[in-house]
Amino acid sequence: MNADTVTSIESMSHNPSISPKLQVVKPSGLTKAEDTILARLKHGDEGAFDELVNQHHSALIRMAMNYVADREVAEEVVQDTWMAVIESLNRFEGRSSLRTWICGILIHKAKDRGVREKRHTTFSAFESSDDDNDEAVDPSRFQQTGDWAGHWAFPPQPWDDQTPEKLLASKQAVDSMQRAIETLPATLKEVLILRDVEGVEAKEVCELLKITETNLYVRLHRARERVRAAVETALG
Amino acid sequence: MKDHRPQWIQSGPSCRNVAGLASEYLDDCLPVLTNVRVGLHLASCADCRIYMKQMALVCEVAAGLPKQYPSPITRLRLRQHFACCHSPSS
Ligand SMILES: [Zn+2]
Repeated sequence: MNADTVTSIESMSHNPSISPKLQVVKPSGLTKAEDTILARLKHGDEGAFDELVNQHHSALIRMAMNYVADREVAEEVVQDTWMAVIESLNRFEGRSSLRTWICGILIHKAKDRGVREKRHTTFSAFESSDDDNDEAVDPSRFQQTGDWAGHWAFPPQPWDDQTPEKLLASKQAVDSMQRAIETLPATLKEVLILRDVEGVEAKEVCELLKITETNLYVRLHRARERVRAAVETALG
Repeated sequence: MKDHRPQWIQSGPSCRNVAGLASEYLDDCLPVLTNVRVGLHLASCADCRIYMKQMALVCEVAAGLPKQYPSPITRLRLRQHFACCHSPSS
């Protein structure tokens, strides 16, 4: 990747296709923590680099898996991304957040690798996830007619262990969730990974993927509902 | 964001409406009026409370999924490259 590409990734937060509501004008896209770590990185602090890798490596691997077919290639793409980050760090001006910049480099490299390997998700699959008007929750679970139209006909049943800790301790629940996430279409998977698995703020996800907040929530809700339904099936 | 369910102003949302807005409700990004309507519905509907709780759990459990780290050899390679490009003395 050349310097122009890295710079253009950094400029993503000023993309005119993003809704005006999302274009917050600010002198720096960096959080205070990122500002601190960036200063340490630029002074050659290897501990800071380790922290950066630990913080973002999971997200990068999961994102890369969206565009390439296997884990081994995803690892290579992520390693290339880290190399590009190291080499471009001194040119990073902080106009976007550090995470947005790094994820942008990853997406660029992973798409490029996916295209070269002809294994990337087809564009039709990308387009289908929010062009149609399908509801996230299966409409047949609601009353269709009568005074109670729109109310639950087949309501969700409570899960026995309704705490995150107990669910995480349940191999069955975690496995079903991971499988559900793996099998999501690319456009649903990327929003769920960024927003829920990695905890990226909604506004930042929109900037990164160049989508509107409305699109984000259409996709995110479908993704979450599919994962919820998978856990429901596994525990039911 | 615009309130995209104006018909609720008179009647209040159905369970189907509430289920459809669960993600925005959980992320606290609904318009104020819609947010209040959804909250009122949840106060009186046990089924929707279960649905909302399950969606919240999905988000929380997703956040707690196992982290992934580079292999020791990859980490070593990255550290060496970092040291080479950003040595404090350079
Ligand atoms: Zn209800």
